[in-house]
Amino acid sequence: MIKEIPFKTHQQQTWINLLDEVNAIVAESGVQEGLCIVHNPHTTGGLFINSYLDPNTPEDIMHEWDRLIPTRFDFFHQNDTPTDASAHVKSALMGISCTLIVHKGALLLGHSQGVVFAEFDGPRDRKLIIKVVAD
Amino acid sequence: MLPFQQPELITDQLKTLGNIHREDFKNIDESIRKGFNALELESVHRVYALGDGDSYHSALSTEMAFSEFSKIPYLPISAMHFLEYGADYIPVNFPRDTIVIGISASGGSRRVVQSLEKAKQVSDKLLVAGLVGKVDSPLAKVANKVLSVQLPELGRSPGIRTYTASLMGLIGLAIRIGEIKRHYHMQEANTLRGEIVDMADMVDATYQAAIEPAQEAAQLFKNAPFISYAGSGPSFGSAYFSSAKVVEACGLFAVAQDLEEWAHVERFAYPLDFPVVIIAPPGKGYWRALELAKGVKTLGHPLMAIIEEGDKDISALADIVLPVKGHVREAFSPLLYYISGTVFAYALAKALGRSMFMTDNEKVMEVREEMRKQIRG
Repeated sequence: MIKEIPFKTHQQQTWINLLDEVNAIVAESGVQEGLCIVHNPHTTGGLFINSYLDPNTPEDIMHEWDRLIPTRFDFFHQNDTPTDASAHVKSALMGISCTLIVHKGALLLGHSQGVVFAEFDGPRDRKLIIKVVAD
Repeated sequence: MLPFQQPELITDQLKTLGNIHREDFKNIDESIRKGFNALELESVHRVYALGDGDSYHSALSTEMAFSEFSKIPYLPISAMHFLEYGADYIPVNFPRDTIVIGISASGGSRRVVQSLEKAKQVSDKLLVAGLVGKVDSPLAKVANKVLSVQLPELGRSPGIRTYTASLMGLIGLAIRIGEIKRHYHMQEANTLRGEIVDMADMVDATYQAAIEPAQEAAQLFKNAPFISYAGSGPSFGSAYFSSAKVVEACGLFAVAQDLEEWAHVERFAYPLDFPVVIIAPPGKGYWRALELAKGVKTLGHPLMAIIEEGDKDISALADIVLPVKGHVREAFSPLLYYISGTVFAYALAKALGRSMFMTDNEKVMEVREEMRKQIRG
């Protein structure tokens, strides 16, 4: 079963925790033991699992990505914009999917772990693709 | 000397305009994206766009696009004016803060080539570009950057397709500068580009809708001593281009003026019944176009209006309406609002039985050959 979570981002660089939405899909699936694959189909956004309880934590993570890969004018990719070019690099290095364990009908995550979409070149219309597979 | 040029060259061109939107705009846009890199466009704070004839008119017509999208000062200027009264006074502060674009469909317009040579002499901090319809032309060779608006050849032509291409190149650059300067996201920029592609059907429909009223107008106005065009903002450029097509198509004198300026000057001209053509898309200048239309009718002039189909106000005053089929944002209106006037130019040429550029008059053509050499070299 494949489901999508559509959403919009509203800033050039931002993050969104989608743990609740992913949990809802897992619950709807009825799978008790299995895997949940979360896939981000965008090349200018990333996906990471980390703490969301203090919003400053994802904020720090986003800032660190920006420090490591600042928007520059001399990317080889000149067809679009400098922020788009840097977003491609950030997305590639961060990664765009994760595989989570489903146990007793729920995601097996640490208590502060969220499923966070990282927007590197918004605002845009985005989505995550979720597949829940039973053992 | 130019060979005999039938007026049908105009309609041959007009029939293909929609396909320039559908098929060629994407190539023009790609050329613009490759022409300047992101650092250059982020740095630029001023654009000079210069040309002669149709190329100058395209520069005039796209001022609003630059104001609205790139939000930097944009100076459309004739090549002669730039060469002797502009280039020496460009404020040169920082590298890459000024773009000088020479526009020429043929790439051989002498004054435009000289202007770019002068710009390069003034300072190597200037970005000197050629917007050309021929990439192997003198202008392309002298420019530091070449923005190609080359179209598939259709044979010898008056400047109609090439005018569309120049407009697209300039508007594309305005959008691109705004995109790089982050005035809007690239998705919004792509939406704007999509609007230009989507205009294709409107372009074709506007041409078809102009044929009959243009013929009627041609019969009414063929014996007029001159035709007076008026428009403001982007429509000033459209008025300039449309009046030029009348002169080129059949030698009947035509002149363009700003809406406000017409009320200050042209209202004092004889005869009291010379035809007036007002170009008025919906937008910022419409209110003044309506006022002028009322005034023109009160003075006794016959009025032809180039207005959006469904217009209720100016259409009620006009003796003849050339309807524009479709609604576009005013900054893009030059891509649509020159078509009807061009059809009218063709209809006048047919009504007067003349060929384009005086090519049916050998005696007159011989005398003009010297002047042709002055502008082409």
